[in-house]
Formats: sequence, C-alpha cells, structure tokens
Amino acid sequence: MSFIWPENCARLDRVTPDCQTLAADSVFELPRMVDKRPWLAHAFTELMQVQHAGKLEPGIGDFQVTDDTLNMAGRILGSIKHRYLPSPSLSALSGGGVQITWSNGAGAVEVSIFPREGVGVARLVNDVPIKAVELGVAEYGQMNEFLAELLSL
Amino acid sequence: MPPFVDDPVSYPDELRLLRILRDSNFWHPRDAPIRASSCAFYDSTRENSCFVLDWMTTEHFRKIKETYPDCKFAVITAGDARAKGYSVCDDPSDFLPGHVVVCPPRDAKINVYRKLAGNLASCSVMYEIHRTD
Repeated sequence: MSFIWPENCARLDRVTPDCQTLAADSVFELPRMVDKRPWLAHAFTELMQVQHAGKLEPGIGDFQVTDDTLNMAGRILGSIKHRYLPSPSLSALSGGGVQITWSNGAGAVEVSIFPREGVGVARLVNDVPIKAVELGVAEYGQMNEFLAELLSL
Repeated sequence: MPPFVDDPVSYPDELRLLRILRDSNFWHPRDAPIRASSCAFYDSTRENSCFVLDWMTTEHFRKIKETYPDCKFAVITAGDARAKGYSVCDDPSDFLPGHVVVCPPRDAKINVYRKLAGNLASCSVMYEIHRTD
C-alpha cells in the first residue's frame, strides 16, 4: 500500500478556516429555493426524459429532440408566470418537435415547439382544437392568457 | 427532402391509409380510444408517415407488433386526407411497403396546421392487433 497518493499529502491540509473561497465562487453557493412554481421542476425533468427517450421510429417518425428545441421548450416553460398549474405532460412530436400540454377536465392548453420553425399554442376541448395561434419570438403573453382561461383564473 | 406531390392516380380517394400510433399520446380518449388524438397527424416535419392498408400482410403486422408492442392504428382514407387539405404522396420506405406521407399545404402556418391535424384525426378509426398468427 502506498502512502504517497495525492490525498495523503500534507498540502491538502493547508486550508485556513477564514478562507472565503466557497462563498465567492457561485458554483459552491449554498442551495436555496430558485423558483416558486411547484410544477416547473417536474416539467423540466420530463423535458429531459423526452430528449433522452427520443429516437428514430421506423414507419412513424423521428422523435429525436435537438438541444436547440430543448432549450426553446425550457425558455417557454420559464416564461410562464402562473405559480399554480397542474403538472404538464410533455411528449416528443414526430419530426423532433416538443409538445407541452396542461389539462383540466375536458379542456387543455397545448404548446407545440417546431424545430427551426416556431411555436404554436392551442386551446382544446375534448381534444378538438378550438383556438390556435402562432407565437412570435419571445411573445409568450398569449400563452399565459390561454392558461389563465383554462384554469378560470 | 423530395418534392412531395399529391398522387391521386397511385393513391385514389377510396384507398385506406394506416398510421401507426406509438403510444397513448396519439389516441383519444387515452383510456378507451375511439380515434387518433388531434396531435397524431401533427408531425413537425409536416410529413405524416402512413401505409396503404390493402398492401399489408400478416407478416407486416407481425413486424409492426414486434417493433411497437403497445401500438394501435388509425385508419383514414386518402379521400379524407384530401378533403381536409392534405396531399397523399409517394415515399418508399425500407420498413414496410406502401409507405406514403400525408402532408398539409406547404405554406400552412402552425396554427392552421394544428387545426387541420385535429380535423383529420376526427375522421380516423382505431384498430389494434390482437393476434398475428
């Protein structure tokens, strides 16, 4: 057994108790609550799973989600101002898009992210789209209106 | 991407087209499905893969079932697709014979395409495989 591994070296003990390096380096900041929307963490987890599970499905379509599409979906989720929402369901669209759906009884609001094309939001009743709009870049206010309408806020 | 064009000669209106629905995201209602869900024909490349039902044999259905054990099928006619504004275009595939793509108008914006997809899904009829022997 060797006693000269780096972790056994005396230099590792040269830490002064009043050293402030941890507080100064943001990577090591103490954990704290970063968001007050309880549904958001779940949504981000699902989003990562959608990308992880996506693959080319012969005869159906290509469900691989690119990082750009994933980031766009993340920005959209982050732009939602409502604190209390049901947890959305997320799925890959054939062609590499991502669909985010909030359901409330027979109603639903569905956000579709099309790679390199744009974002659509639709209001559905019993799975029938009754209203659909295309959202411009960073113009997500209408999505918040659809969600408020869904939840009668 | 090939220039997809409607092909009513090879794929006349009465021809039945089958779309494989991978999981419950693609049928409605989820617990007792009666049709494809409105997002089943909402491919973000605007090329919805379908197969000509009459060209399918037991062997083909067995292959689908082996590849997608939980899948179901939505069947529409080529005429349904055209009536809703879609084109039915030839697109040979290695997976199975009779592969076509059902495409919305090329210039349809996302909001228009969303409604078209919902309209087409409402015409669909659900099927599932029970046995392939």
